[in-house]
Amino acid sequence: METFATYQLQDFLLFSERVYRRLFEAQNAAWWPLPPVLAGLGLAFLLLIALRRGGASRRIAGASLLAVALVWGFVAVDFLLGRYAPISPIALAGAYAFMAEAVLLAIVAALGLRARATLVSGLRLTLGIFLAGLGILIYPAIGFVRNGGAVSAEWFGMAPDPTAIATLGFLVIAVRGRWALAGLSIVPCLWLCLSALTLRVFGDPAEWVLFAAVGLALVALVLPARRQAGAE
Amino acid sequence: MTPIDRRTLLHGLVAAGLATALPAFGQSPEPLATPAGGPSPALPAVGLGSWITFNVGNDPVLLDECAAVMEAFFAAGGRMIDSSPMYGSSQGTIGYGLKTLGRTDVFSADKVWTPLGTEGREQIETSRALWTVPAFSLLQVHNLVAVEEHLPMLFEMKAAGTVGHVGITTSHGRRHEDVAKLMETQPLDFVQFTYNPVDRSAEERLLPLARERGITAIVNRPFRQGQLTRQLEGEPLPGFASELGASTWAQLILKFILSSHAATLPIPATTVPAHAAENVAAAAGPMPDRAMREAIAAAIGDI
Repeated sequence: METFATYQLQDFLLFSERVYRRLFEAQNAAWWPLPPVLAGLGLAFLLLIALRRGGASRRIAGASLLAVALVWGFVAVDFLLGRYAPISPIALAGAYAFMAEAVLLAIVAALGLRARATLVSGLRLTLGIFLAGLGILIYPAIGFVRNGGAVSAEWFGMAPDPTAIATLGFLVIAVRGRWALAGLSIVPCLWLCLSALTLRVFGDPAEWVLFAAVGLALVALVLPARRQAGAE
Repeated sequence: MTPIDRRTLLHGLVAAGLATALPAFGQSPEPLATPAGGPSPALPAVGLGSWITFNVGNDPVLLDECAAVMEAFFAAGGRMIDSSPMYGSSQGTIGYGLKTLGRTDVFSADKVWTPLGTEGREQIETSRALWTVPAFSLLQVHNLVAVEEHLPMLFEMKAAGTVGHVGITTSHGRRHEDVAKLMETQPLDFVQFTYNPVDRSAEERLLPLARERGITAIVNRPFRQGQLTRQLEGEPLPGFASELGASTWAQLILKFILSSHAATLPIPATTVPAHAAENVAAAAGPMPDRAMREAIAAAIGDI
């Protein structure tokens, strides 16, 4: 016990910040211009959800979950398993968790909880759009500014953190049932917490963006899910 | 304060069991030492660590950077590289570097790190394949994990000639009592622990015991994972540094470690080829005497 107390957070991190940043740089370079294309698709989904109403919006939200399921599968295999796992056993575990989440998202999108999807309350919709925007636009922009280039940034659909943040947003918009929302949010929230701790070791204040995303997802769980009658 | 002249490096001689005949401090004109426990060729007194720095995955740019560090290390006369199955992809990175450079003369120091004694041999074989070496020069029980099971296995391997030397490791000042007991009771060639001008708990028992038992002490975290050298950046060196031929704080810290009573072999890790060469060079030239050592510790402690 006495020995255990001598361990610090950095003792559990096996790699340097430079190697960590290079993961994203190499991933983006290998797939360029896919990162901005995926971001554009994510934004298009968000815009359609925000602008359309009723059944159309519901179908778009369901489709967004299917698209998100696909990018989770891609991030799991190509980024986590292919690049990150060789330097981190946590990333290896994360790859399997991401694959499981991809399957769950696909099931939810295909079998639709769609009947219960969308028509969430205005508050939930606003929060969801903000979270998704945070993952698709703001988080990559932070990386763009910090690392001095688009190829060095972490992009939605390419890197796990912005993908998890945006996914929380799409879930808040598309999944009305609290239990379903809570269940589907477990993997993204756990991943974001682990990533935030990694950033803490590097002294990167972006950790608070990740913690804030988790906090907002938890807030969404207690917000009213259903729109009031006549609000549509 | 004047450095004591001496032609033979203390560390190698301690390792060879001759240290009791020598004074505690001195200087060495060459970075050469003789490893304990066998007929291996002379071993330079500064090695190369791979914790964090060599865990670069499959990134070709970073793999080549690590190979460049190894190239500079070997070119400066370095021989011993230390790694572990716990260090992510570091073993594979070393293997890549050795193949790229065409080096076969590395003193390969690795570890066994599994809680299951039955998995030890399999893990060692996996590590060996990653290193691309025919056999390890040294195998250590990492952080004393399952040491009761792994040590007899390693001694068996040494007797069979499939490993050159046997050791145990700890770090961060942990479990020194357990390490000391094993040093007293087991025929170890090497012991590895943390020691630097700020972390000096090894001076109480482990370093005297290493000297007494003729065990070479591999010193990890000589710069506290770079924290010391980062803190000291821009700080003026003490006046006596030039007497010792030390042009950087890193070299001064290494000289502090190398001039301890026991045979010490620090293994600083780096991502900068020039630093790898600079570290090896620290084993050459005069070593600090007792007063200088205390002055180094005080200067660093004050910053």
